[in-house]
Formats: sequence, structure tokens, C-alpha cells
Amino acid sequence: MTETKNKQAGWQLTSQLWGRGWGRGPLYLRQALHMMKEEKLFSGIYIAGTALAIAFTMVMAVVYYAKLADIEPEVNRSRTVYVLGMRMTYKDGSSDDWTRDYYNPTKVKEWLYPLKSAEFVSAIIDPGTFVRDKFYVTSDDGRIVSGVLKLVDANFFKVYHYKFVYGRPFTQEEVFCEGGDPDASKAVGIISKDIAEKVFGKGVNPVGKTVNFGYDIRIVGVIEPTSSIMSESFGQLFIPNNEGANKAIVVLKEGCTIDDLRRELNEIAHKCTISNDKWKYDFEGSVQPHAQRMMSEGEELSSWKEILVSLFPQVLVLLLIPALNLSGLVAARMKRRLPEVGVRKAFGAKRRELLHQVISENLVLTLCGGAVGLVITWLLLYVFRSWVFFAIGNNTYTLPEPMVEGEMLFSPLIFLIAFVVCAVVNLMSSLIPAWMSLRNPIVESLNQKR
Amino acid sequence: MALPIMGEMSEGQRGSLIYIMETIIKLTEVNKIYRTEEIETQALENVNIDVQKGEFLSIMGPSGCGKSTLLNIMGLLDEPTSGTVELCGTKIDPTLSDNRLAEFRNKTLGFVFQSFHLISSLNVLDNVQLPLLYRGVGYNERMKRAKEVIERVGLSHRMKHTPVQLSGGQCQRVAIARAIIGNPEIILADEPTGNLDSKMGADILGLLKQLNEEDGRTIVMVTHNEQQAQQTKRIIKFLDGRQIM
Repeated sequence: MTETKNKQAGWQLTSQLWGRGWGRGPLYLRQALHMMKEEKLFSGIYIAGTALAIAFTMVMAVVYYAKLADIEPEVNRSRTVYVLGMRMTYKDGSSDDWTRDYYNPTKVKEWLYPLKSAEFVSAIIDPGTFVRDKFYVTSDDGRIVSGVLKLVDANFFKVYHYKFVYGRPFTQEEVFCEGGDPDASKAVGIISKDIAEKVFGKGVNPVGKTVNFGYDIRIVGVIEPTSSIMSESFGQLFIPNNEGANKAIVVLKEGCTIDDLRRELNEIAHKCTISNDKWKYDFEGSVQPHAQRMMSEGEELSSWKEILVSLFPQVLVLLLIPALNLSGLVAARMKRRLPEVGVRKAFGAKRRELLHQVISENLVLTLCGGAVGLVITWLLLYVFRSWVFFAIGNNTYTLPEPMVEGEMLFSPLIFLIAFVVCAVVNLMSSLIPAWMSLRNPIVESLNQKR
Repeated sequence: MALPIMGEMSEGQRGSLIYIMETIIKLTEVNKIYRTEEIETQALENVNIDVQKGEFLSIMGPSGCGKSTLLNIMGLLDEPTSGTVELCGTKIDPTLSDNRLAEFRNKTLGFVFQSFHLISSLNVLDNVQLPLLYRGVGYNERMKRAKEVIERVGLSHRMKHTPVQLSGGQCQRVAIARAIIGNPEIILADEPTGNLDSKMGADILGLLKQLNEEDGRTIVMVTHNEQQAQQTKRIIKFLDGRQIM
């Protein structure tokens, strides 16, 4: 009995809500759909304008998200800091020239690994003029297979969380192998699954097998391929580096700031300067948080959300152009609909209710624009991914075409942000002309020629 | 029949007389002046009209004499420049907010326009239920009442049609259904047969007469048509913004 009563009460409440206001939804929807059919040109332009605005905002957001958010394997981006070599300038000021120091194996062990503000430090050799970033190996069937080479230490696999299909990361012992034989240490390596399949064939577990890289490398692990959008972690063959480093990747301890790290590094630089007659050492320009390195954004640690928020004014200015066009369109449409507004007012519609209706109708169009915008975004991110990430994301054409998939391609949060931003801009663009036309006297509205 | 003198009436008689003579629309010294930068046009000049409850009144006059302006003022769609308007015993305060006016119109008035003013993107059912929508009536109740009034105007077979699929006469029937769905005391019809041929015009007038006689609704109709005006209970003639009889 109680259950039946509750059900009845529920139905009554639903019916009341449906009747008062909520019930207008289906009516507004029907009218909006009818208008879409009747006013194809207006609807088409409105949807296209909204779709492009959403696509533009989403592509921007996705690029920033893909480059800055904590995404596997770069799950520590929000507390990752890159430390390049120390800057060296002449103590006597005889020249403005400067250079960056190189961390030899001793400096790596004595300065970088013991940093107190760091949870992990990975010392690597970044490819440059003198270090090759490509490898060539011969496959089992005699083909030459090439890919991107990374010279890393064991901590690299703590900083970046790769998914291992087979095997394991190499250990620090394998990097600095016992007996101090550097050549022996190079004998292990990790490859990506796509390269493993090219070299050894599909479905083969290559752990324990060797590839010839001028010398034999024993495979100890195979990782899932990653996207080249994540340029810091992207690699297809990882071999141990025990010859010093030109870059350290530091994951800050929870609770430590970039300033704590800078203080430690400055102490090191100060000691070096004191002990050297010719050179003055500092870390000017050497300490780069992830966002600064990826997108030239900010000198402090900041999350992708903070960066997106900081970009908001620029995005808003760019969205203002389609918004003004939409505003003009809505104004013209509202002028055509003045007699309808007059009739509704005559029969008791309040301005607020009419505004609600106009907003609801525009929301339907905005939703359609959102769906089309999503498709355009996917097309841009999928078909033109190299260009998009090159144009916005500082990606380099030397890397393979980026893989764009999973949460990079569709993050509900990103879509929601882009949609809300565009919906608000659309709303504002329709709100002003709608409000203006609703202020028209009823008689004038009724007498308006259709 | 001679009416008894007030002092000689019983309590019951007084009550019924008061009912019979209840003034539902009262315009006092109403003036309407349209001003532009160059010209000032007096659309209405010292108009005094009392409309009794249950009357079917027609307002006649040539084009531009102020008939529609008068109707708009009666319907609270326009404001007089000076003078007072009373509807259903309520003096309309010129400072009343738009929202209050909208509520008042919604509950008290129904409009029938010459050019129907149906919303082309809505079907008959949706057009008719409009006044109830703004009164906050629930969906089921709205539907029920809309179907009833549509049936009453003889269009139950056209409920899902849109206005473009209807003839002029049918559109005006829908407009009448929309005007009466909220059960308003007063129906204001601005040349309701103006866009119709004579047969359809006669049909619509018949429908309005039926609403007046059967439901006792007060109807004020603006018309050019002398023959149609003759079928109403009282005629007021206008010329150049002035009431001439």
C-alpha cells in the first residue's frame, strides 16, 4: 500500500513538474525542430558556426590536454621538471658567450640522483647535433627497421609508466654494470611492440632475443607503443645510458615545489663557481617545468587546467567573431518572429518565459552544432594530426606521425569544457538580440509584417 | 420590460440586477496620442465606454478611426495616453509591471485577430493550449481542455495539422479555440471575419454569437461589416478617434 502511495505521489510530482515549465520542454523542442526544417539556411549557418567554434576550442583543448595532462606513460607531468645542463659564462665578463655544461657520470651520481626535493631523477642524453636519435636494426627476414632511439637510465621507467607487454625495465645495475664495462651494459635494451613485430614477427615474445645495433642488444622488455605527441617519453628502442647526461628529468616529491629544486640546484652551481677560476655557473633557463618545455607556457609548475584557464581570454576573443555573426543572425530571425512574440505576450507570456523559449531553441541548435563539432574535431585530430600537433603543439616533424586515440581523442571533460564555453558564448550571442526584441511593444510586434 | 426602481427591489432582485448590469469594461476619458518628431496624431479622443457583462458589442467605423487602438487599449496591449481603464472591476494601474499585465491578460482576456496570428511552427493542438501553458496548467489538463475546445469549434479532425495546412476559416476557428480555452471573461475580436469570404465570415460570426449566448461571454468585436455588426447586441460607431453614437 505504502509503495503504491509513494508511486502515486511520485507520478503526481512528475506530472506537476512536467506541467509547470518542464512540460514546455517537448513543446519547445518540437518548435525548434520544426524551425530547423523551415529555416534551413539559418539553422545551417548557426550549426556550422557553432560546430566550427566547438571544433576550434576542442582541438585547442585536446592539444593542450595531450601535451600537458597526466596521461600514460607521462603520468607525472604535473610535477615533472626538466633540468638542462648548467649555464656557463665567463667569470671576468670578457665575453657574452655562454654554453651549457654536460653532466658526466660522476656529476649525475653526486649531484642529480641525490636531489632532496626529487622523488625520481632520470638522467638521459637528449638527442642533438652529436647524438643520434634514430636506430637501424636488421629484422629476422633481413629488412632494415628504423625507429626513435632513447638513451636512458633505469629511473626513466619510474618517471614514465610504460605498459610492458613482455619482460621488464632494465635495472640501474644493468646500466652501470658490474666491473665497469660500459660496453657490456649496452647489451640490454627495451623495444616497443610495433618494432618488435617488424623485427621478430607478430605474436613472438622477443625477450631474450637479440637485435643487432652495430653490436648485439639483448631484449629484456617490450612496451606498448606510445604516441609521439608525448615527445619526452616517446621512443621505440631504449638502451642504457651510462655516459653522463645533458638532461635530467625530475619528478618532484609531493609537497616540494620547483623553488625547492631551484634552491638545491643553485647551491650546486654556487659550489662549482667557487671551485672554478674561469667559469661562473648557474641554472638560468635550465629549469623547465613540463608545460614550459612543451608549449612555452609559464615558468612555474602548472596543471593543464590552469593553463587552459589562462588561455581562456584568448579563446574568448577568437570565439567572439562567430558569436557576433550568430548574434546578427539571431537578431534577424527574432525580427521575423516578432508577430509570434506579440501573440505569445498577448496570451500571457512573460518576457522571462519567452527568453527561456528562445534559449531552449538555440540550445537545440547548439547541441546539433556540438555533435557536428565533435565529428570535425575527430577529423582534424585524426586526419590532420601531424599538422595540428605541429601547428599548435610544438611537435616536430622528425618524430613519427602521432597516434591520437583513447582519452586524447575523446575526453568527456574536454568535450564538456568546450561545449560549455561555446554554449555560453552562443547563449550570450542570442540573449542580447532576443532580449531587445522582447522589449518591443506588443502592438508593434503584432503589426510587424511577416 | 420596465426595470423596477432600486429602492423598491427585494434583496434577491437587487442581486440579479447587479449581475445583469455588471460593468465588465469601463473606459473613462481615454485619449491616445501618437507622437513622432514631426507630427502628433490623436487616435482616440475622450472615449467613454461601458461594456456590460455578457454583452456582444461591435465597434464600427472607417479605417484609421481608432477602432483597433481602442481594442488594443481594452486588451491591455497598449496604454492610453490619458484616462482610465477598468476591467472586471479592476482599475488598471498604468504603473503595473509587464508581468502583472501578462497575468491579467492571460486570465481575463481572449483575443481573435484579423490575420489569425497562429504560430506557424506549432500544430493546432499546441497553438490552442498556449494560454494554459503560460498559466502553468499541467500537460494532461492542457491537452484535455485543448481537445475539448477544438472539438467545440469543429476541428477535432485537424488537431495535428499546422496552420499552413488549414483554410482561413479553419485558422480563425483555431484562433477562437485559443481565445476561449482559458475561459476568459472577455473576448476581443479585431475584424475576425476581415480575411474571410462571406460564408466563412458568417460561420465565424455564428460561432462568436454562440459563445456569447450559450456561455455568456462578453465579446467586443471590431468590424467594417455593417451587416455583421447588426447581428450583435450593441453597436458603437467611431469617426476620427471620437465615439459618434
